Amino acid sequence: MSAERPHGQAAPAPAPALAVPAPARPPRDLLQRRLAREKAARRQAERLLEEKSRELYDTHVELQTLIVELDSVVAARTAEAVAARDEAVAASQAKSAFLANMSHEIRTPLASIIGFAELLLDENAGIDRDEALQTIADNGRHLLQIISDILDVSKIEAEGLQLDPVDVRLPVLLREVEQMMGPRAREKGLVFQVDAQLPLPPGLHADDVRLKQVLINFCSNAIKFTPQGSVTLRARADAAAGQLELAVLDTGIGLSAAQRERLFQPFAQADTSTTRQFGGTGLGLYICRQLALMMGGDVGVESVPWEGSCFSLRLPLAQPDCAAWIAQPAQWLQASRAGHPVQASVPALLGDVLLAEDGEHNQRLIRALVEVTGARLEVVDNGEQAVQQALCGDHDLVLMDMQMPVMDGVTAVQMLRGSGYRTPIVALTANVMRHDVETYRQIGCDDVLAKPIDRSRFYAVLAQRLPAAGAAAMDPALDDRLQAEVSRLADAFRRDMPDTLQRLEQAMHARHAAELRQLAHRIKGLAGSLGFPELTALAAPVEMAVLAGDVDRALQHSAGLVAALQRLRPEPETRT
Amino acid sequence: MSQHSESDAALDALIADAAASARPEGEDSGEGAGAAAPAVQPAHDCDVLIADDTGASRELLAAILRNFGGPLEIREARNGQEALLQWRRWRPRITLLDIDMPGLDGLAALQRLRQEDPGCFVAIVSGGSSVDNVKQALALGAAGFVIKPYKPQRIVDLLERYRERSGHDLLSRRRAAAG
Repeated sequence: MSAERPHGQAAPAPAPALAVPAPARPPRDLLQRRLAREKAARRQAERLLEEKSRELYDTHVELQTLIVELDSVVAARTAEAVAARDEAVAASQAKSAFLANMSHEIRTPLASIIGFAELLLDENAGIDRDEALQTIADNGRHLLQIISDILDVSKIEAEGLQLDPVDVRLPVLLREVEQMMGPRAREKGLVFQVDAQLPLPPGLHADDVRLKQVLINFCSNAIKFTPQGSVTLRARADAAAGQLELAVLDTGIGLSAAQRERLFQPFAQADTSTTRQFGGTGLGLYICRQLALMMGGDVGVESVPWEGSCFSLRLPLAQPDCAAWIAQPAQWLQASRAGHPVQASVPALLGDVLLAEDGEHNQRLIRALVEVTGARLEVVDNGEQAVQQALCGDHDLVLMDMQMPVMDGVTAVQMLRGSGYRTPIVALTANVMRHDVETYRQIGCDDVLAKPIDRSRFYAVLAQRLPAAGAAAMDPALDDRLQAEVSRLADAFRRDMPDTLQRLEQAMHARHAAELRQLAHRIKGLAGSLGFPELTALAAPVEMAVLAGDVDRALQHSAGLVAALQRLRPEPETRT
Repeated sequence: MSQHSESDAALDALIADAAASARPEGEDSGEGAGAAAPAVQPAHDCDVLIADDTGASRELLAAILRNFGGPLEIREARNGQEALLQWRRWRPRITLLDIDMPGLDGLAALQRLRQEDPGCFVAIVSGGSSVDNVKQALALGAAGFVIKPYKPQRIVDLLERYRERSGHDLLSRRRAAAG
């Protein structure tokens, strides 16, 4: 309509004709031309209208499409958001359930530990001490397992878990797993056997610690869920497929298909009643699967309820060349004995050990472990004291915790090595990842011991670093000439004692702080070396008090020094 | 400790000698091509310089050093200032500075010596095991930190460290002298 209006106005209206006199009426042909012109204008207007209408329609359609598209985008985004929210909620629920489960898991062994410890403290309880201690140790180990599982999961989830592949000797690996798990199976009345299906490759390239972790997890589960019968650790290799399979077979309660599906999910045991009945973190198999994937392999499970299960770890073979494989049982047996560590008993040792450790319980444990060998132990609480005592003392070995208040072990070791200190230092640490161990060695530690302390390894390190009882002392000997020199200096020192004493008493009387300090300083620096360590110990606080500006305290300490000097004063008849 | 007065007098003469002979050698004051060229093997006119304000302490340390290092050429100084003079005169292989000395103390002397010759082997000896002192000494480039009363093993450690750094084994002299 709007398109037509300008043309209506533009067309000449007939109205003026009324005002015009008759003789002025336009001729007929003029009217016809005017009509034709109006028709043409109308046709043009109609065409224009149609064009604009079409444009409008197209725009409308376009808008309609956009709206539909927008709707679908909005719907998709909403669905995504809903899914993300659901996922987050589910993850959060899983974590909450996990935390609830964990706190239950942590409380249970803690309750046993505290309960039995209290029974032990109660003299009237009349319980079997060995049994109580065994329970405490077992529960402590279980707690440790829970904590390391939680740490593993958080590392896996943060993608911070690194594998350290090394050359692993397969026969040794299987023997080590058997040594750890065999006794536990037999304790429960189960048969434990290793089924090495030859030929097998002699070794593989993998993270030995993590590999063992997977196998031990499989074995513990098998032992846990098998009331009677056997647990078998089986190894077989397929050269053509380039695959090694390590499997643990049991004759236990087995798993239903539904249970099998959820097995390798995090935070999920077969069901919560299983957790209550059998314990465990519900994390082990999830960790195993993640580790297997990181190693380039996978895990699998086959099971028949009430007949048994087979958990397997499949790994790619780095060495598919079967010419080098072990085919003879005798050869296998020999290879599995290689590097067999001798079970360490308590060695008889000599020497002095300095322990820097802030945890009171670890201090007591290590004191007990060291003193039973015959070696002496000095304990300090932090790195700063460790530096002081190490530099002052004459130890044969330093055991240094790496995480300590005031000054950590790393700094302390760096300072000691920087000071030219060459006595062996062994790091004690809960951080035993390979790069941690390398760092500790680089800064000057001679060895690294993991916490909690493995007794046989602890004694092996001690025996290596300390002289055996009956051996000659390691200290460099002072020869006779030096002894003569020292006794000459000691005599001179003793001869000077009346003079020193007199000067000291005068200085005290005059409250002459500088003189007091100078005398104390000389005595402190010298007396200890000349066989009067008690004088050094008495002189040090005098000097400290003067330095602190406390003359009264300096005088008090000086009195003690004077008394000691008077006691040590040579008899008159020796001064001839 | 009055019986050390004779040795103190002798030391005074030595210090005077050191001061006299050190000054004319202008290149010893630190700057110049001589100090900057590490390829030139430094000429040492003595093995050890001990700076300690207590005479008996110096004698004891010297005795322990000779016990493990054999017939060593050892010079002495009673304070940081004397230590600088003696060091410039004798260019010792090893310098041992007590911290607590009148005038220029051991840490200040260490700093000066390290400025004059960044390669010099200077260790701190001290009656106090304050960790701050250890930190400061290491920051100033001390090659070692030995605490009094002297533990023989620490002195051996120091001589070992010198052998590792310089390739010159003072510990073997005793074996050679004994053989």
